[in-house]
Amino acid sequence: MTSEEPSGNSLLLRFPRRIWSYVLGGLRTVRRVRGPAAQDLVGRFVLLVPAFAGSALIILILAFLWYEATPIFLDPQGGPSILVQPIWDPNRDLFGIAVFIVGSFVCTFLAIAMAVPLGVGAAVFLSEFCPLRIRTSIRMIVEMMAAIPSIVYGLWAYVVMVPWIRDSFAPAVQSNPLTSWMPWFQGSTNGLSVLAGSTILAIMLLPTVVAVSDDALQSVPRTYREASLALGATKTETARKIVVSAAIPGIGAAIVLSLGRAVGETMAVLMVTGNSLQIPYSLFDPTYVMTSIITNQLGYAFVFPLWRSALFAVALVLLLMSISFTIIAKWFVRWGMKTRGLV
Amino acid sequence: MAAWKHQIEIYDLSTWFGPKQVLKGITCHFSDNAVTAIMGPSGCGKSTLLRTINRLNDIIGNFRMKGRVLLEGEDIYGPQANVYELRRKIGMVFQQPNPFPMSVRDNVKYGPRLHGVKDGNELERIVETSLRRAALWDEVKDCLDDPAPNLSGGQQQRLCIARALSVDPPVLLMDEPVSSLDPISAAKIENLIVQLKKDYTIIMVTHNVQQAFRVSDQAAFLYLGELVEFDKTSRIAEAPADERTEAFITGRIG
Amino acid sequence: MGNEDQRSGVGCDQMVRDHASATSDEVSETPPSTPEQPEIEGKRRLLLWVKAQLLVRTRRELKDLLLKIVFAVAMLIVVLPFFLVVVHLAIVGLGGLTLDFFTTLPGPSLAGGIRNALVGTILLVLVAGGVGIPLSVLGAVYINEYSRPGRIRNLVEFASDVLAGIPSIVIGAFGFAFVVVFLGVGMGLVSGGLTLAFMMIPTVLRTTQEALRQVPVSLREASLALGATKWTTTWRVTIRAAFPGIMTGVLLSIGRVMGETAPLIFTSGNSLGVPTSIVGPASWVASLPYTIWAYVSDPRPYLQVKAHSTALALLIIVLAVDVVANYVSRKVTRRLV
Repeated sequence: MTSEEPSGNSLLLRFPRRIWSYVLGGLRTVRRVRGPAAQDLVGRFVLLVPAFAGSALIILILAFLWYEATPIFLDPQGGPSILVQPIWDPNRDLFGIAVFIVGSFVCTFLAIAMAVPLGVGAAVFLSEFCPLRIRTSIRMIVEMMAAIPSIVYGLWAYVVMVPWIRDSFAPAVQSNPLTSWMPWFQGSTNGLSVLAGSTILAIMLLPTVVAVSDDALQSVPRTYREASLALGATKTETARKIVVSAAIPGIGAAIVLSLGRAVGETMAVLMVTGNSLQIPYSLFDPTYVMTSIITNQLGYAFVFPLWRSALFAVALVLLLMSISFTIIAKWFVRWGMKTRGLV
Repeated sequence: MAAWKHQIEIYDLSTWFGPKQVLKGITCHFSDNAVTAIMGPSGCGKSTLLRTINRLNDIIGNFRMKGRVLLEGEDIYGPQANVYELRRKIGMVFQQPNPFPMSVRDNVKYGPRLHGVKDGNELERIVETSLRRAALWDEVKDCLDDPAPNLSGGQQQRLCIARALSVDPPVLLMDEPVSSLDPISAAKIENLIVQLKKDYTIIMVTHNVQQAFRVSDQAAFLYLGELVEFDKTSRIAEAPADERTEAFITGRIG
Repeated sequence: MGNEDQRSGVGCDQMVRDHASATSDEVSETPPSTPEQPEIEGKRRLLLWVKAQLLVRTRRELKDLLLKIVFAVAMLIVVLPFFLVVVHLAIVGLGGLTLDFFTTLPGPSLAGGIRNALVGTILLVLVAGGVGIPLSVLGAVYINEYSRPGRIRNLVEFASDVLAGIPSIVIGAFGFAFVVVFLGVGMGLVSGGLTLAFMMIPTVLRTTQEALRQVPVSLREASLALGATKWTTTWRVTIRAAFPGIMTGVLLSIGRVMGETAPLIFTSGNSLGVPTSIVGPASWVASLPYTIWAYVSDPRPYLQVKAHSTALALLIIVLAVDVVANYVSRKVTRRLV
């Protein structure tokens, strides 16, 4: 492919110039080839289209959300400050989305705090201590858990977990003198709460954390374990200090990606968090997360431009967060591998 | 407890992996502060024998053994035996260099930390001592915090030796320590082994007859799980007593 | 037997695992200390094992034992919700899984079956797969077989990773704003199916790419050496070899997409019947997850029960698809080894 420029290149911008010369070059080749080579050329061009579908899609999504969200950012009443305004009242044209950001943050943080230690611990058991026959059965169960749709988890949480929190857990914890003083156990509740939301989120995150961590641990070469044992370490010392440490790049990536999933989880959290516009101060307080407000209100809001724009702003925040998490996960894996000399 | 003559003594050792018998009735005593080579054709016996001494075969599910292995007079498979103490007293270097994916310094600190050394200065002292003994100090003293896998093959193996030495074990087991290295690194490490024998009892597995003759004081010839011959290396080299030994040495079986 | 068996006794492991290879003249002594009657002694062996574990003498060993228990407990806690969910669904919903349930429409009072949702889900998956699968498989073929490793390939891979992580409601909102409103397609089968396709594309693209990467280069080279064009090689050799892997990825993403609710809330509409057209109001389509969502939100108690039955049905279907996917993927490893 030569770099001959078409004669009228002063009319073209710099960027399309490359594509243009590529296309022209291709056209010239097409005139020259015959037979099987033509087949290959056609194939290459035909496949080009779907290949770019993926990247085109994401740019399209970004562009569209940005387009829809801009009005609220430009509006004098709104502007970028809506990110920190706590009052959401469409009737009065108040579109502060801070409540939802806080709600998502709290639920996600708690869910990760529960899921990561449990998940990594279970993965260590699975990889280092579990007899082979039991291991395959457990892996099968974990993969089935990962396949359960979020609406099904939501259904169970709504019908079983929420009443349990209302009727058993909250009364027990609030009457027991050991725990009744704790500030995060205060408040009366009907069960729809931060606790319910973050717990069901944690349950949904666990299978992925376990599976990815288990894979990461399994891929640590056996010889490291043997070297550690030969120095007189116990199996758990070996697991902790050598195996887990070697697998941190993979495990860390799993955690960051779980963060992204937690923030973006919709149905289960929607059904059990109570959807209240107050900022939660206790585990038993209800809350509103970003995904829920969009789900609840986009249908009504669509005909009201400012309201709709505010909801798309929330969607944009979600999108940017999930992009960031993906990038952070990739960067973390690269850093982890470099400091261990594994790259 | 009778006074022991040799640090490692083995009486009538037989081992099985499942139904398959790997070692058959092995009896031998390894001289202290000397290099004993265990040689023989490629097969399971040599490494199995070595790993039986530091009980590393325990991690394989269907391993069974019969007989006695004594370290300093005590049966290491006995009911009173503490396997972690045992492994502190017996160091191991593997065929493929396997430094942990951490810094050079942390690699050497790992062992002492495990066994209770907490003082930072003490740990640094151990790092330097071990690396000097393994003839690696001069090459890595300026980059102790770099990841160990970035070292060359020969350097990695010397690091593994330093790591094994960090807990000051009286016995060192080496499973074909240089077979995966280039000739120059291999030669360096062979010299190192000859130096180390002054302070340590070294038991080395090798399939390279010439290496056994170069480096060891005593040699054991293992063939199909049986201890065919066990004597001073010089004597075996000149006049092997068994025809199988001679076949192996001259290269007819390998 | 080479040097491999010297390394950490792995070779010994391999060798003794095939008991068939142990010839009679090698085993002269029987291994000692295995229990005399294994079946009867099974329980006693377990007790002995427990006793051996509890035989701690030093603080380090105690810490070791306690940590082992902690890890095991973590495993139990992780697995527990699976049984809680499945058992609960079965208790409440199993009774409702009659043949009528799957074959009748709900009727005006919603007292009937879920045929609308069942058919709807199948149709949506067909549309989503029809658009998403060719796009992603062909795209992956291009990336892996035709493009040069470099910035373009990295960019496309990065884009599909990011796309895979986007929350489902954001895709749903986008589907609504773009397909339903901007393109004017309106809610219904096409919009719902397309939105689901957006969710399928990144996963199928990545799994197809992985499957293609697993095909050894020597296969392609052999084909080209015989004079075949790249096109023929790709289609007749590479893809055929990667087919089980591609199939696994496709099945897994179908399973995932069947259970998605959020993308459909604003794009598929809902219907008490089966859609009679592809676009327009008559194309509004129900789906299993949407039905569960609608029934749970309804105060009528018999609908709560139906929600459980629908959830159980959805769960069984999704798990069945997953089992098939796993079976296919196991066939892959066996063929390539």
